[in-house]
Amino acid sequence: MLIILYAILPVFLLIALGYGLKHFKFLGKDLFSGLEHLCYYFLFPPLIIQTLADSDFKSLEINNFLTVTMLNLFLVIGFAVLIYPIAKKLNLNGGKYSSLFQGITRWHGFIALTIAANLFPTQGIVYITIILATYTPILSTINVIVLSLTAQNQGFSILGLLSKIILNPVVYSCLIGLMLNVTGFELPTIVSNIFNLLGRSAMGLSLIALGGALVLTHVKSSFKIITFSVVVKLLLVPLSMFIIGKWLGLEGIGFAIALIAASVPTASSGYILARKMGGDAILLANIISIQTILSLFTMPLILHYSTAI
Amino acid sequence: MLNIIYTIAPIFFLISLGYIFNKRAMFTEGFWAGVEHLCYYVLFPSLIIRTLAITDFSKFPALDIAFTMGASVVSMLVIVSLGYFIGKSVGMAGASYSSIFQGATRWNTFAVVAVVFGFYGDAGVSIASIGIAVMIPMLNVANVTALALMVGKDAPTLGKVAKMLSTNPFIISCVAGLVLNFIGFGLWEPIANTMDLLGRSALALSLLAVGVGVDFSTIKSSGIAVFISTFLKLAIMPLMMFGFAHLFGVTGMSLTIAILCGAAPTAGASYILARKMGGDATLMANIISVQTLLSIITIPIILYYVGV
Repeated sequence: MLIILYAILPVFLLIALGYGLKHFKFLGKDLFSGLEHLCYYFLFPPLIIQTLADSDFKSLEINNFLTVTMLNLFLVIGFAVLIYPIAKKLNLNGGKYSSLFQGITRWHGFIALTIAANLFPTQGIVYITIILATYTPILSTINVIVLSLTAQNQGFSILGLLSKIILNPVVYSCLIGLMLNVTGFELPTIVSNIFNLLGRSAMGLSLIALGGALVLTHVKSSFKIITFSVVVKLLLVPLSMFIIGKWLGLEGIGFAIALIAASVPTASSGYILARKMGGDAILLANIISIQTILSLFTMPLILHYSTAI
Repeated sequence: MLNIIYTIAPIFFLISLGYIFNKRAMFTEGFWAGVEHLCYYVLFPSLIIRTLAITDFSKFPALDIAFTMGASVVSMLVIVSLGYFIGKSVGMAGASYSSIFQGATRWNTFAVVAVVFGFYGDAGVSIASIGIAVMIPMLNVANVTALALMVGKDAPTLGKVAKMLSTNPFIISCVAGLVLNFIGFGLWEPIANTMDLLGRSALALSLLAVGVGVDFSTIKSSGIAVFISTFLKLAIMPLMMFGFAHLFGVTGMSLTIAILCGAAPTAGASYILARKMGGDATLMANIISVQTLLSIITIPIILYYVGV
């Protein structure tokens, strides 16, 4: 338990620091949105490219790991789609449903990355990057489609969808990294030193930015829907990952990483998408914030009782 | 030589990236001001406290390093103070000379720590922190006093100086880290890990910020004042470090780091101080930009001759 707590605590200390700095105000309000932007476009791509390029996939149990994590992803997406009729009956408008959908299906890959790196310094990052590479294109596709169909202010276009997916820095970084890995092309030392310098700053800064973005203003008015998203995302998603993993015999680090990925809160990047595409951005911001705070308690328990860490 | 290029080129790249970000206005000015504060008040203190708390000082000649750095700073302060009278006799304004003074004595701590971390990791940061603990208090006091005397505006009281030193994040972190080290308390693991994540972010972010501070448009107006200040800082100061290191028997990694502390371009914060205290801020910006750019050439050359 102590090892898990020690790996998770830094993540939350950084988020709390970001929250405190934001409310302390002396750093200015531009800092936090700028940091998120900087991480998303300039710091994470080098980290992802380098990790994927340098990974030795043969030493990992990839096949079973991919099957388990993908099965769980499809199950979660299926569940989120199936609750649409119920949401409609409960008079949830399209914008609210889209935010609930994002809140249930997406995951905070960089929280997972930091925890995995703390627990398993070398292999942890590789496994999480594999999930990033597989989940991100699927999740951005499905979420953009759902937002286009349910939210008011935009129609759906295949071209718009494709450009959103390809221009997603996580997606193209994964593609570049995998290509480098497959072709066996080694990054020149200078480039890999630059990537190192940039990539190593990504984790800390993104968590500070996440803390700066936490908002708890409208929690009361959407209490039920937020609670629902918390129960599904923080309890049911890890539970189904646990069951599928046990069922397919996934073990060791792979199993632990799959559970870390399943138990992290939803992604903070969904907020920008919601705002751009007419989703209920305030609701999503609240969902992100509440999930992030509560995951501090659920994650250690889940990891402790479900894995051998 | 290859080793030097491999470490300096990425740093140059990041500074350039910061310059491009700024020129293209990809982030707001408020963002960069925030970044600078974040580095100054949060990220660097984390890096310094953590490394100092866990450093085994019995492995370095800490006292000899401190003497080397202290003696070099004092010598440089004496030289530029005497220079003031020469400047005065040829009719240079006190405000302008105060910028030469700042340019010749202060150092960009961010850049040094980034470079040193690139070469030597945590051990390097610890030795650079000795430099911080020795040089920053002396330089702060000397520069504020010099500015007050040369510009003739409000002279600093003892209380003001004490307040300035005791609120400087670099100094506070050095003291905190050393105290933790000496009482043998160490750091609780989750706190150490958190500080590690913060410290790692410091390097890239501060190098970007250095690039943001470079302004080519000021360089065209460079004159003799810029030349004097730059020559003293980028050539004479590292030479003095080298000489005193020899005298005190400092060698190896410690020698290189002492020289780097001397060879660094002047601090970006000089500009703020010049503006606040009535120095020649335009000249100061000019000196900062010229030194930052030239140091990218002079530092590798110096390191090459020292034999890294």
